[in-house]
Amino acid sequence: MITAIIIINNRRYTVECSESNTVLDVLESIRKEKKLSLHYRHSCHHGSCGTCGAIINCIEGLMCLTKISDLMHERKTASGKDTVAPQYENGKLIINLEPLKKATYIADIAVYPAQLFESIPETASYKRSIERANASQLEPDSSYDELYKQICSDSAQTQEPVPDKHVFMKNSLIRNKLELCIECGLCLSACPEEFRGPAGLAAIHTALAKNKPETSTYSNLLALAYAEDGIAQCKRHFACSRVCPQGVAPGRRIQELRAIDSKNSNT
Amino acid sequence: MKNNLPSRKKLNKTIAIIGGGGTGCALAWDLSLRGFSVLVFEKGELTSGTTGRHHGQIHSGARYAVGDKNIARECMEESILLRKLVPEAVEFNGGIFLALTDEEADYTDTFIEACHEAGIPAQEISIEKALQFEPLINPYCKRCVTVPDGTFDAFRVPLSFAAGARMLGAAFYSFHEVVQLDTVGNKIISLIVTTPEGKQQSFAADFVINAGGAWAKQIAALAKVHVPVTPAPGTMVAVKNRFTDKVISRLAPPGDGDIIVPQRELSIIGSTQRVTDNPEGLLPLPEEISFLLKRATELIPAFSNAPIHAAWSAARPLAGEGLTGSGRSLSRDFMIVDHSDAGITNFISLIGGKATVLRAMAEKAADYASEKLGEQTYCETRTIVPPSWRNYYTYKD
Repeated sequence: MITAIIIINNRRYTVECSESNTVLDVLESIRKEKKLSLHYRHSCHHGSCGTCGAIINCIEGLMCLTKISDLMHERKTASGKDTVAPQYENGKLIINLEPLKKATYIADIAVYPAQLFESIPETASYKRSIERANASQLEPDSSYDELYKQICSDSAQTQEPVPDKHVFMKNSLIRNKLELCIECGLCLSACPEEFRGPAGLAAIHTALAKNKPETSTYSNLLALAYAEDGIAQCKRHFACSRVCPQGVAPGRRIQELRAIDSKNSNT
Repeated sequence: MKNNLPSRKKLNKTIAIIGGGGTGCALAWDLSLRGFSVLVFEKGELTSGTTGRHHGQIHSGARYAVGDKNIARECMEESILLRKLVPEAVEFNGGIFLALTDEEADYTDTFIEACHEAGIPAQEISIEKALQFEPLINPYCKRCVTVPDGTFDAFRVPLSFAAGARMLGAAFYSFHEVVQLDTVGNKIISLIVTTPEGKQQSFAADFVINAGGAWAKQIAALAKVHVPVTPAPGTMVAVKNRFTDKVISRLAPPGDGDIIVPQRELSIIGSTQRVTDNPEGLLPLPEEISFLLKRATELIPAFSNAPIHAAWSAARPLAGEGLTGSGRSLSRDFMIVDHSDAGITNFISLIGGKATVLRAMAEKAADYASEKLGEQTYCETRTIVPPSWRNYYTYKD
């Protein structure tokens, strides 16, 4: 057990906690034990929803995945150049929490991430198919028939086009998962530049791979990447890639978007 | 994704929902489609109570088939609807139940029969075939049954419903805690809410729905009425490896540590169950974590070799009271408590239930509220696809 001083908005909370607790665990305990209102976003508590980002002792991180023990070591900042050493006050660990940048401030460390979600194009699908060697396809069962039947009957009302049953089954039986990016906004906050930002451009990069180059979706996505607030504004700080909790590597993706750009302008 | 929601006729009635979890979000969507003016109050971010911490399994209902056919049938119906309505937030790869002991092998026929009676297409497959699908499951399993289980994002599914509601005019007040319900005669006439700035604000409503989940008792108490809810915390552990694409379950009656759910690059073992009186600030106990890892290893031998990514607890909102032990004996069904009997005629509480059936809970509560308000409305959430969760944050009122 150690004693920590949590500082939020110039308010200080002294708490006893275990080194294996996460920063989010500690905030939850403060709210429970001290019965006070403390505003922060959180939902899944395991790095899947992307809501609990904060600037934790000068570095962007998810509070649910940052342990107290992580803060007891020297850490590299998002710039990659400087380090942050743990600070103690009379033996108590200082944990300074600030809201993420480039988001609308609500209270304490809670923000409203409109800018982040605006940066991600609507055509960027959140699903990906799983390519794994020797992975067999899923097997059909009657639940797919029921699903297809419902889609057909709904389309009578919605006037949405219905895919052919054969195409529907082919697409439905591919193993799939959600995209790696959890839309947490750490990259956007850590980036010193003002533009569409790493999350949005990484989403464009991912979406391009899912669309054929001759489609309008593809060319529209590419146009967003090339736009004035697009890849040209990236100054290769790579702060985005350093703070990403999911290994999405937005910095590398932006450089790959540049490569598509130069390839196109050569032809 | 369709974002052009058809315009709705507007009923001149306001319904306030207390609680922005799975049920509150689905209710806001359902009631907005019916034309009501909707206010949602949540003391934190949406889904910050129980919903978001769900391991994400979409239940085909197989888990409940032997115990309760009605719940199983409802899960089957709702799981298909979720696959249709929020495909972008669902990983649908099916599930396998594994019998690991002779006793479980013996139970398999009862299990399959119960699934079929509930309309769940459970199918026994050979162990060789199961290993072909999922090479990392326990190769010494005795029997394998496939079912249409899946995974969903417990934040993005409810938020998609919230986004739809918002686009139809519902007002969401996150970080607004309801602290007082003012009654005149037999009606709640206004809700007093603490804003994020710490000020008190009053909102008027014609009807109030308590969708507080594990917090429902505290909310009902604001109107001096009682609801029988028992918060039942469960712990889950996520490790850094996606061992399978299918949800892997133990072929036995529901118990602790018997489901492994894949989610992005993680695998999650769930869950434990105990009962408590305060759903706030729950932390996992060390013995729960070691128990879960041990149980996970029985289903997927390599599970506990992977580094732990996170461990957390969430409070199920069990409907019922006076429980001892784990509370597993209590039904996972949901119910509507009408507080007219206690003297308040425009207030209901929605209690119990589970994440897979969030839409159905909302439909039944919205039907009930509509009737109480004397409005002829019908549910459209079975057919109308909500917009993306991203619209929740990009939509401008």
